[in-house]
Amino acid sequence: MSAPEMKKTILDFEKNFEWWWAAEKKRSKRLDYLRKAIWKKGAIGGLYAPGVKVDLERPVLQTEKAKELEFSPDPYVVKFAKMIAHCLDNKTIFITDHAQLVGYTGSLPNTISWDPSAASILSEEVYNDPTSTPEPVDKNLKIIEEVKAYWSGKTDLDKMMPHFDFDDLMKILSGSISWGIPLTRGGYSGKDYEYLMTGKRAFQDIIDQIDKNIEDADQKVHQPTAKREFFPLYEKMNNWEAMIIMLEAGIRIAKRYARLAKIIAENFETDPKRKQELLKIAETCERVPAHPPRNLQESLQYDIFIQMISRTEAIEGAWPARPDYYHGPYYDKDVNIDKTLTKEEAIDLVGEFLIRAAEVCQFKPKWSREGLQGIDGTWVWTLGGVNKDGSDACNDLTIAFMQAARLVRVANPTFAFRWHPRVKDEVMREIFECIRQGLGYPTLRNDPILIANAMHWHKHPIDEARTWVHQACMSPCPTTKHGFQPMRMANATANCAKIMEYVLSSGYDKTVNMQVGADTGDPRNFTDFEQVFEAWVKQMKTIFSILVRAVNMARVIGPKLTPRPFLSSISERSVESGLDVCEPSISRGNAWITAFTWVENIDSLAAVKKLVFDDKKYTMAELKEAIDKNWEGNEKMRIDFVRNAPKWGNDDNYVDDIMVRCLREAAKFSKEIECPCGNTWPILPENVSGNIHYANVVGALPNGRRLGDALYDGGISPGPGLDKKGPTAVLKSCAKIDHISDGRAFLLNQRLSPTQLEGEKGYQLWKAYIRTWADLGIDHVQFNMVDDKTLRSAQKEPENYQEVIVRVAGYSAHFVDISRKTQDNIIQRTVQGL
Amino acid sequence: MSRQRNKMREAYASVFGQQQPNHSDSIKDTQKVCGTCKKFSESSWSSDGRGSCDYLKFGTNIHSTPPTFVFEGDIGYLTKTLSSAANCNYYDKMEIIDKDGYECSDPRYRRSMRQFQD
Repeated sequence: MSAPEMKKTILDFEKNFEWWWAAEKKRSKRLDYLRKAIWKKGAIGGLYAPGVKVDLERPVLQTEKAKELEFSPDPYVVKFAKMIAHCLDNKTIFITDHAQLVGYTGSLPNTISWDPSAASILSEEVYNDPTSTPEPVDKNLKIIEEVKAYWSGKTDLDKMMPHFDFDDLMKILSGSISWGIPLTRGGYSGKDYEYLMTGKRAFQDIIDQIDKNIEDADQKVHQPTAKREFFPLYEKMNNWEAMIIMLEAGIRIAKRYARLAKIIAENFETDPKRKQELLKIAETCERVPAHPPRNLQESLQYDIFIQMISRTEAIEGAWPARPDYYHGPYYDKDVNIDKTLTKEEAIDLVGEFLIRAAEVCQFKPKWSREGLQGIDGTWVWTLGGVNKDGSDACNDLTIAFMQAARLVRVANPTFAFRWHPRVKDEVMREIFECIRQGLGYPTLRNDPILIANAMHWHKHPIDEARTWVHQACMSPCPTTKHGFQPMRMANATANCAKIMEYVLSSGYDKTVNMQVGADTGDPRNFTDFEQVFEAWVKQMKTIFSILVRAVNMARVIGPKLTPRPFLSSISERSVESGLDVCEPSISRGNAWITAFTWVENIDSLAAVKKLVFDDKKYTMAELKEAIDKNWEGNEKMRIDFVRNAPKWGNDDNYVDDIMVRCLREAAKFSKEIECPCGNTWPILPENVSGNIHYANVVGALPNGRRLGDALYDGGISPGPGLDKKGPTAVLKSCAKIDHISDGRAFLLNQRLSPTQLEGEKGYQLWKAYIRTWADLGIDHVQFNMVDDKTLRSAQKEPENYQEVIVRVAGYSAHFVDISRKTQDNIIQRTVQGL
Repeated sequence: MSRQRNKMREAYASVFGQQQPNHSDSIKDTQKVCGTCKKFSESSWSSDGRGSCDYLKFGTNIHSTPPTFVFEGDIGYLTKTLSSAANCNYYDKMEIIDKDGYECSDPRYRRSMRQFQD
């Protein structure tokens, strides 16, 4: 901050909408220090920030243990558990100055962890990454090379891939239609929070239960009569043994942190207050995760340890959580009942918890970093909602989280609020304040709609559906024994703009030079719109089927080839059954197909219908020729398709009916295809930053798009600048969709003006908008409320705008951490006047 | 085994059967590698340098002497950014756009951000 700006007051900054400077002045010294001590882990554009280095400690530890176990008679699941336990037992641990919470997957704050056993292609990327090799580079490249060579052919992906259909596999590998890898140890992992985080048990209790299970099983298999019903027990005992190894390792690493905190307190710390804090850390880590938490600090620490161990076992792309619901009772006890914490002290803890989450990072492939610019993964934390009995679940911690978020201004985690009609005004005001202060979150979710949605698609009983959290950015998932989803494989993410592209190329993909889609015939021969639409449906089914088949296969064989002993150990259905948590037969299923780049289809179909078949201004042959040439030499025609064909988001039935029709075809198909649990595969239109990642993969389209243009920002959001009739028209278009039965969920981005929403009048305007949104039965909306001037200034002087946050799509990011193309795309989004 | 399945298995093996040329090797000859050719599309699924040629088809071998070129078939020629194109008759060097590495990475490794024609 410059000298003149140092003299400004909090009010001055707030008047100028410079919330980040105001937050710096408002937050405690501790939070200010911890916030500034964060190493930026989200990739900028596609590369990690300078100074962020891949951690080589874990890969070396894991490899040395794997070599040691090569001739061990242990089954793979036990060997794997021993490898991970070895990493946890020997990894470097540290305590950040002024911190009250501990736990990080890397050996140093600036390191990002790399799992060499996950995928060979990932390891190759670690080797080739130009910025993240730690010093000395030559020596460390040799280490990476050795580790990479050991695991080549042995990684999870190497084991899984040969089991897939090769035809499907080559199409997925082309990168044209899919985003993600079908692995049990790489994706979005839910948790059985009802088992783990309701205070009834912790690791030691689970160990005791498993010990009993093993003993019972052992007795059975040693009975004189060898019954076939006992055969499965052999495998189960192996799984249980692996689960115990993981839980005991989890307890041991916590005690290492306790010991470290005590050593620092007793031998090095001279400040008496900090000494007490370190002793409190020691006490906390002695308690959790072995035993259930007793206070807020222990509860938050317990959560961090679970995440840390889970992220040592697997590459986790999300953080499904309901922090106010599960930590709320401890907040209430400490702040309101026992009064052992003041509100300010509680905010410090909560703010630090957000910071710990923001620091989490595992080395991810570049396609993931480009699709999720500025963040490591989508930590979308679910606030609010209802209890299992339907009553309002908001509590004081709901408010505390939002207040803390405004102070620390991290982009990740981000919040999504489960709105329902009984939410109190004070909570709505907190939500509004977060949005108004430019956090880009919470997003609003329509709780009654989404509970009904979860019951409709996956037959979750109502009390389980009411526990739902965001599995990743958008999709609800219960946190219950049979309802939670252990691994959502991102491979079921479709680049839907290709559906339209393939209608015009009869399934041939020019970018990858491959027949990917169905042969739907020469589009020049289509004589009416229904033929175009029929081809569209066929291409949609073809693409979705390719992706679903691969994920289904991975779900079926994954538990045997690539088990998850830690996640199993904290899941009731696995502790009880002895089966791996990813085993489909013990899960109800919660699958969905993420539909990237969806609206391009709608606008394109509408354009073809209008300009080719209704107005007869062009023929299909002329359109195909123009598309094949990427509109070159046809600019006037292209502008016609941009401007003079109706666009989604303007309350125009001409195009809105096409949206509904497309969704209903997809919904119908969703019920024909099955997941391994026997459940359905609904679609979920949303994008993250896939609209930029795929810009150069998707060719020209009839909505006027050229190869290389950024795609729309996703979900059911209108194309940037194409919604011309105001925010109510956007809502009315969206309301024509049935948000319960037409799909899993539907992302809607809206940009609002910060000046219009000032003061009480602004709050009432926004509240009325939310009321309309809710009454129309729309399931989702999220807001950007940062003006163009600020964003353009941030592009010119990023050093002064480090904490400006924008809502990208299903997540938020710091504006300065995303690529220029993505920044411009956000600025292009229409600012709605309410 | 069906011919189609066999062909697909071979194609898969051609993608995963070889390692990307090493980091240090790349310095030797970046003038004529597949990644700097206009016809190359890096896969946006695996960002470790695998990709395909949008002109040649599977069955092509640009490393043999003499090289073999195939122009028909269902699958594009699968190659990698650092594969030598020294023997390829259809190599067409792209314009290297000088951009900050955080917008799009070094052309030796990543080029999907620059595939559009300027």
